Amino acid sequence: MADYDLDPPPIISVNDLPGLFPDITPIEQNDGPNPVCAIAYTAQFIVAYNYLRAILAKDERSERALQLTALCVKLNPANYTVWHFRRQCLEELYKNKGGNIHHDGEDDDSHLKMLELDLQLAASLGGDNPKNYQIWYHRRALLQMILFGSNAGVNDKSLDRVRQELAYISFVLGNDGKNYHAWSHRQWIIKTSNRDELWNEEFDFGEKLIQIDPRNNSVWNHRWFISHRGQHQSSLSLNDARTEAQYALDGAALDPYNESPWRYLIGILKEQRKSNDSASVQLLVDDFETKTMDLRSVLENAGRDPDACSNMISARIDMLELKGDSDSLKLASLLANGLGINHDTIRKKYWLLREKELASRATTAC
Amino acid sequence: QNLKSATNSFFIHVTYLQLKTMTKTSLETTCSSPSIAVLDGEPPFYDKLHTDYIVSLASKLDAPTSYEGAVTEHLRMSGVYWSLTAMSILLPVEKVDMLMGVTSQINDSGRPAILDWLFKCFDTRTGGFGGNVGHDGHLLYTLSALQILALFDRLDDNRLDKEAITKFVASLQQPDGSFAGDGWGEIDTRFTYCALSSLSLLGKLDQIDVDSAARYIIKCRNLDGGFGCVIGAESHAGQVFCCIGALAIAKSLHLLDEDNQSNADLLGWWLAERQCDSGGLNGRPEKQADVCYSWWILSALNILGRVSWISKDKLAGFILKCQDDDDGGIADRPEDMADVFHTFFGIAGLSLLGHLHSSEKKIYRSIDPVYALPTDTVQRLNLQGQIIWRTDEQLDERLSHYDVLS
Repeated sequence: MADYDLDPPPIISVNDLPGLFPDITPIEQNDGPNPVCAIAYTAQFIVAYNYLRAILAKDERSERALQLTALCVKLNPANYTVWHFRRQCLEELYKNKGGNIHHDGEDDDSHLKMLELDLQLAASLGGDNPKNYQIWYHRRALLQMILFGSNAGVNDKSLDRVRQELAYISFVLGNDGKNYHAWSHRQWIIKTSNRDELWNEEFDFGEKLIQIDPRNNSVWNHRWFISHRGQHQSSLSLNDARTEAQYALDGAALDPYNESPWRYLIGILKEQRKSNDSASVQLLVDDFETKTMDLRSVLENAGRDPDACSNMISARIDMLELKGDSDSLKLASLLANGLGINHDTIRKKYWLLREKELASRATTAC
Repeated sequence: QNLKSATNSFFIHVTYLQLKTMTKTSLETTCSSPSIAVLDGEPPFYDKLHTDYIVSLASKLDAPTSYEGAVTEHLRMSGVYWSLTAMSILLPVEKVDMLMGVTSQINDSGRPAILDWLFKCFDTRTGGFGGNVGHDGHLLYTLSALQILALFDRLDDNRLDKEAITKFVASLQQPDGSFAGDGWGEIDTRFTYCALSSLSLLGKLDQIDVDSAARYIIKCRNLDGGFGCVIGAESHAGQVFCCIGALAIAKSLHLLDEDNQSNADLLGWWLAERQCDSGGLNGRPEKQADVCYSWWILSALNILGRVSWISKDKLAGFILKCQDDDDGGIADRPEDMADVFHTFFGIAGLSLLGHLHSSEKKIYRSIDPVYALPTDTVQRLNLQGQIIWRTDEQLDERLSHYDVLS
C-alpha cells in the first residue's frame, strides 16, 4: 500500500503516562483478578485506558489529556467516545488561547495549526483503518472548522485547501476505489464548497477513474452526483442528458457485461421521461435503443452470444418499455422470457413476472 | 376381517414411525455435531456448534487479556444484541438466559448479569445508551439496548428512563427530517432507522416528525432505485435495509411509488441483482458476496413482498457453506474466519428464508424483518409497521400483524 506523505505529531507511549499524570490514580475497568500473562498490547491498552477513565471522570480538557487521547485512539481507532473527548479538548485549548473555535472572524494561525495537526493524526491512523467511521467523521469536523467556519464561503485560498483534501481522498481511493466513506466524504466537501471549478474538475477525475476500472459502481454514482451538481431531485437538460447517455453507452460498449453504465443510461432516460413527456425524449429513447441493438455486434465479434448478456438485454427491455408502443412491449416481453428461461435463471421469478406484465400492457397499448 | 386389516395397517404405520425416529436419532448421534439437515447437497445447519461458539465468545471477549475484546469494547452493546438474538432464534429464552447470564450472573464468572451491565451503559448526560460502560450515548447503542430489553421482556424495568431516551432520540432529528447519531451531528440513514425503531419500541413515535423522516428517506433514493447513507450517496444494501425498514415503521412505503414510477419494482430488481452465481448476495454491483447481506437484502425484500425474486435455495446454500464446522460460528464468506456479527446475520437469514423448521426436538423462533427481533416478541409488544403485499405472492404469515400495502 502506498504511503501518504505525512508529518503527524508524535504520539506518547504508555511509559510516558505516570510522568505526565503524577497526580492521577488510574481507574481500573473491573475488580476482577489481574491477568497472569497479559499480551503486551493488551497490557498497554489496559494502562492507557485506566488513565483515560480517570481523566474522563475529572473531565479534564487539557494539553496532557489531548496527548492521552492520541494514544488511546491509536490503540483503538474506533473508540468514538475518545474521539469526542479529543474534540472537546481541542475546543477547550483553543478557547484558552484566546479564541473560540466556532466563531467567525480572522483566521488564527495557532488555531488552524492545531486543527491541521489533527488532520495529520487522522490520516496517519486512517492508513490502516480506511473504513473507520470515527476517523472520517473527525476529518469532517475539523475541515468544517478550517474551511467552512466563517460566513465568507470558500475563497481562493481555501479553494486550494479543498483541493489538498481532495488529493488525500484520491490517495485513499487509489488504494481502494470503492471505499464508501471516502466517496461520501468527497461528495460532502464538493457539495459544501459548491465552487464551479471543483464541479468541473470532478468530471475529469471521475473519467480517469472509470478508465482505470469501468466496473467501479462508485465512480458511476459519483458521475451522476457531479452531473447533477449534487441536486439530486432535478433533471438534466435534454442536451446534457444526451451527452450523459452517450457517455454511458460508450462505457457499455467497452464491456456490455458491466452493470453500471447500463444503469446509468436507463437512469438518464427515465429522468428525461419523467420531466419531459415530449417528442424529443421519445427520439432520445429510440436513438439509444437502436444504438444498444448495434452493440450486439461487439459481442458477436468477441465470439459471445449477445442474447446471453443479461445486463444489455435488461437495459433494452427498459428502453422498449419507455418507448411504450405495442410492438416494443411485445418484444420486451419476449426478451424477458428469454432471460427468465435461459440466460438469467437465478432471477427466473422476476423475469417471468416482468414478461407477463409487459405482455398484458402490450395488448392495451397502441 | 376389517378389524384385522385395520390393525395390520396400524402396526405398519407405527413401525414406520419408529423406523423414522430411529433413523433420525442415529443420524444425530453419529454426526460429529448435532445438526439439522436443511437442504440436499448442502452442509447441515450446525445449530449447537453456533450456540456453543456464541457462549464461549462472550466469556472470551470479557477476559482482560483479550485483544479482540479490547478493540471491540466500544460496541459491546451491539455485540450482545447480535449474540442474544441469534441464540434466541435457536434456543428457548430460559436456556439463553441461563447460558449467557442475562437476568442473573453466571456463577463464578466475575461478570455481572447482562441486564445489570446494560443499565450501567446508560449515559445520563445525553439520555442515550453508550456502547459500553463509560461511553457517550449514541443512537446505534440505544437501539441495541432497547432491542435486548425487548427480547427479554424488560422494557418496563424501572431503571429504564423512557422519558430521557425519548428526548435524546427526538433531539437528534434535523430540520430536513434526517437524524444525527448523536450530538456531534453525523447524519446517516442508519440513524433514521435506529431512531424510528427505538421510539417504536418505547411507543413514542409521536414525539418526532415521522412524515418528515420518511420524506428525507425518499430524497435519498438514487438512479438505480436504491438508497445510500445520505442524499446522493451510492446505493448500498445495508443502507437500503435501513431506509426500507424505516419506511415500514413509519408506515410510509406508499411514498416509494408516489411519483407513479414503479420504484418498488426497480428496487426489488436491484436487490435481486445482488445475487451472485455462488448464491450469495453482495452489497453493491461488482462487490463480493457477504453473508451479512443475506439479512439486509432478504429483510428488505420481505418488507417489499418480493422475496421470490431471488433464488432462496441458492442463498441458503451459500450461508450454510459459510459455517465453521469445527468451532462453530458463521463467516462472511466460505473458508473465512467466523465472527458474531456474521453468525447472527447468517442465522437470521436462514430463519427468514424459512429454512429453520421446528420439530419436536428443536423449536426455532422466526425473526421479524422490520425490527430484527423474534416475531413473537414483535407481536407481544404490538409493534407497529407496514409491509407490501403483491397479490401474486402468498402473504407471509409471520407478517400478518402489520398493515398491508397492496
